[in-house]
Amino acid sequence: MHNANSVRRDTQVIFKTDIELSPEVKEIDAKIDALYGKWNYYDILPDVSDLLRRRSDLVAPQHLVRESIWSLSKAMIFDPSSGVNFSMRGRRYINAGEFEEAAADFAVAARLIPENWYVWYHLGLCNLIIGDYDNSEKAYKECARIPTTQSLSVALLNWRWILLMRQGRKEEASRLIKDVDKSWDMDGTDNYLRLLLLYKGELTPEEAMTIPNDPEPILSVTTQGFGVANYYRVNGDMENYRRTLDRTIEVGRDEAWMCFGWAAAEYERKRLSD
Amino acid sequence: MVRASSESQKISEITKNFPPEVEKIDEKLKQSPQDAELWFSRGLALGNERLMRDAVKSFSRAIALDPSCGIYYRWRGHRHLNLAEIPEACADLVVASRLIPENWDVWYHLGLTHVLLGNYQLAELAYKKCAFVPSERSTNIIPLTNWTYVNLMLQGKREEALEALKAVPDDMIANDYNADYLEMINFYKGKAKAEELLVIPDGLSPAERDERIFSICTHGFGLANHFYGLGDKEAYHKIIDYVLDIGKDVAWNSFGFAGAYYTKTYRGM
Repeated sequence: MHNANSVRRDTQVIFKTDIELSPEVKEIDAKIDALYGKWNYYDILPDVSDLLRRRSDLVAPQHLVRESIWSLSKAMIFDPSSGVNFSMRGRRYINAGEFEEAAADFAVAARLIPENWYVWYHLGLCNLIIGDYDNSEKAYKECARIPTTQSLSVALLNWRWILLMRQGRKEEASRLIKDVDKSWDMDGTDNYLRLLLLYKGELTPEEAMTIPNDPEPILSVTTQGFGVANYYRVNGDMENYRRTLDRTIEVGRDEAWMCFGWAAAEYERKRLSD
Repeated sequence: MVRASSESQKISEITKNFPPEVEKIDEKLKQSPQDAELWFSRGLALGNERLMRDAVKSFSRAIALDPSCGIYYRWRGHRHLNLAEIPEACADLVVASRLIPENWDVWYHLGLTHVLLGNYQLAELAYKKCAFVPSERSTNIIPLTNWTYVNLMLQGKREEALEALKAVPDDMIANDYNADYLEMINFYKGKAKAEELLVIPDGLSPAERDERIFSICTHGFGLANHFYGLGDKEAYHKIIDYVLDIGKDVAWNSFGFAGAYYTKTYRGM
């Protein structure tokens, strides 16, 4: 029986970390403080939103994703109609595995900057992860209308295939990727292409998980892992689905937990019964 | 470079057992998963059960389905406030202030988030807006006056702060959740002693004791800021630490506790 008074603070509140901010972040903080200090409150506060957006990127290498989210939230306070602010914060929510909050931010961004490919792409992804397949499909259709590069088109194909398979639309999923070819130029990032080749039966799951001579093997496993796990899931192999999620989470836990694939893997693993 | 761990940046556990009221809404959501109002109701129900993070997620689902609905941001902002996530709370309430500027609660809570962030002049503006918006209960002038006073005191505007207290008549009575704030107003007016506002009387039942601790956190944060405005930093720190200690189990979601935590931890006050 649920008792409201027994809800512990540490199950709800994220506490401040004691990690010292980098010199670059401190420098930008000084600039922001100086602007605040000069601001007379009846005029526009110049440049502060831009500085806060830059700060949100500067804290990311330290994996301070909450700092990043708060920087962007502060930018929104001064510029609440900026689609860029919502889009940037949405990505940080994905880094944190907060897909519901991310979906909300991308839904707003989609109204404010509907010409932006990434906004629809991420909105589709978030809706897919939270299980709103209808809205995921709508977002991906909008995304597919916007011209982009071949490597990004391949990334989109990957998610659309997963979506269709989760919806049980296997024939449509097959048709979607029938023209995919291993010779396609991926600008050096063939992670998603390898997943599509897996779906077509041209690579094994293990081959799809790794890239030959990969300079960043951890990142690849965490990126590919979620795709491979889903391949198992949509083919009804729940044991390997669970195992691949676990492997992805384990490999990326220290260095790659902010990667989208890792965040998605963790999100779905938490919601699986043991 | 030292990097933050995943565990330090997110809540590890997810809620798997929900209260009956939420389960009822979940049943309805199975039939209508794209009903934004159902997600909104779910968020309200979760917040009532102190599942604030789950509430934020439900309100986010509502926003994802209907991003132009101001009341969703108003409530998500409120729950971020309970979680001491003040920048996110403020951002949501700013958005809500554009979408439903006729809503008293939006300006009231927006003002509070600005106070906590140190945007005192923006808080002042929000409270002035709030004063012009019709409110559903006459006693709402009490908390509005409390935070207006706190905000002015934090800026060192003592004369104006004392002037602001006149908005609450000396014979005003509050028999609702604004009663705690009325005690604060009486203290600022010199009609109550600080010690009386911070003690737990003997003989209270466990439920009454919890309720009293909630009140103490509300009182404590107001008192602390009063002393800050008077330049008594020692009293300020002592009361803030007292609030953070006494409230950590049963009143961590009160505005007083969240405010004390945020301003001490993130602003170094």
